[in-house]
Amino acid sequence: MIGLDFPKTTERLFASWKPLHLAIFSALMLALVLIVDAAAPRGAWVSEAGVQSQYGPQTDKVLLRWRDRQDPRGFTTPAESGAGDGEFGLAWISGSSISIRAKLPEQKFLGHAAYEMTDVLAMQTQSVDGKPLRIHEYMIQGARTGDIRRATLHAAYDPEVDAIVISLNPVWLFNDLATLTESNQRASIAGMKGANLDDLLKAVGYARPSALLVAAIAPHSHFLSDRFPISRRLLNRGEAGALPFPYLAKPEAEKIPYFNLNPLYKDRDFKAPESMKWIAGYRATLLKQTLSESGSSAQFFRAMLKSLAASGKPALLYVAPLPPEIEDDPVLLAFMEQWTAFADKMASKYGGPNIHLYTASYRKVDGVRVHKDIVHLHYGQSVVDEVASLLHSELGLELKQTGSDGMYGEAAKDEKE
Amino acid sequence: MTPQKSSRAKPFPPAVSITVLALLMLLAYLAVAIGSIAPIDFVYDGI
Repeated sequence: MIGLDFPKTTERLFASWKPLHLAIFSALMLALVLIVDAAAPRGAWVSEAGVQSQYGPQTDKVLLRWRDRQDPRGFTTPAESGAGDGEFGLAWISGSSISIRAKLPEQKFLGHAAYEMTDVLAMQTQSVDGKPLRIHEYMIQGARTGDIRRATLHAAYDPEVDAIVISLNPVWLFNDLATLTESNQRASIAGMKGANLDDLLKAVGYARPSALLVAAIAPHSHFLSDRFPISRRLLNRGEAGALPFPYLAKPEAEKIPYFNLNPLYKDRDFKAPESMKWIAGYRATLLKQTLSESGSSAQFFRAMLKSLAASGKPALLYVAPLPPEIEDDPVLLAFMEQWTAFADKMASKYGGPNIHLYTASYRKVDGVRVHKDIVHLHYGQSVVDEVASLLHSELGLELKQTGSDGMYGEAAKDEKE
Repeated sequence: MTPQKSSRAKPFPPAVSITVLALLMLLAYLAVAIGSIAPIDFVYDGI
């Protein structure tokens, strides 16, 4: 019998095998895998699963390209995106620094307290270079530089994307304390178009070999690529609802100890001036960045610059503005001087003529903006105006725009809703 | 030391062993693919 006495079982099963049997077994395995792939369910529920829900105005001018962080597919494909011919596709890649959360009624946009800068730009722009504007929003919550690198690679190779805007986070761009956000998408770079040897060598440092292997094969297999919606439906016995796993309860998560790393950075002054105390934690995190090309985040940034240069698509990289209180903080300003010099040096070394890095925006954005914290905003029309202006001055795009009159406040409502 | 008796049980025909191994491998393939979806609880007000 076949049993737990493995040497005996192995001998009975395989002692008589010849190379021909190994070949038959391999062929049978391949056939079974192909049958599973052909039988894997397809349909709208598979491609729609994991697509983010829109926070702000429900407009088809903004396409959300990022999928739920649990979905290994990462981003929607050009075919799934809903983009069409004859429009100008502008990818806006960012972490949450483009998310606005209004606190006061007058900060609401078309009646929405929660919205993204992409919504604002889309509603205020009729056309770019004479074509209707379609924004491809690559907004990854809690994005770190490694995630922005994947989004950049995706947009660089997406045929529907004509130009790219990237919001660089001044706290995290060169921060090696966290280089990737939590997700099932880290390994997906192994199967992405345009991923280079640097990406793969780096990926073995943060993803399991099995995950990398599956990710590399996934683009060629429906079953592997769509395993998120399929497994979700299996686990919910036919319903495509939430995963029935117990999550780490919030109070438990809060018990995880966070060590004070400040003493390890002997040359940095973590004592925030009075006006910066409300964001002292963020300020300390910002000051812990590694301004060196050997840094992990800097290597992701280098890979971003290289694939943007290779794509030839016009790309605008701006730095999300810090609060005006930084003017009282000479230590932070001095650090940001080094930060911008380092970013500029990398852009000139690894970028191309199509890449325009605008670092001055960390402290020079004209007009009113209201900060929620160091990079998040309650109100940010001035940042959208700045980006629109840079799209024209740096990338040479012709934007036909309306002003923001009547779009803000309690009375302004979204006509579509 | 007593020398171990070697088992002389009759081997299965290759058709049986191939089927058994192929089914086991298929099960492992499905389990690894489906099981690689780890649940992640990470929500902070959308930003």
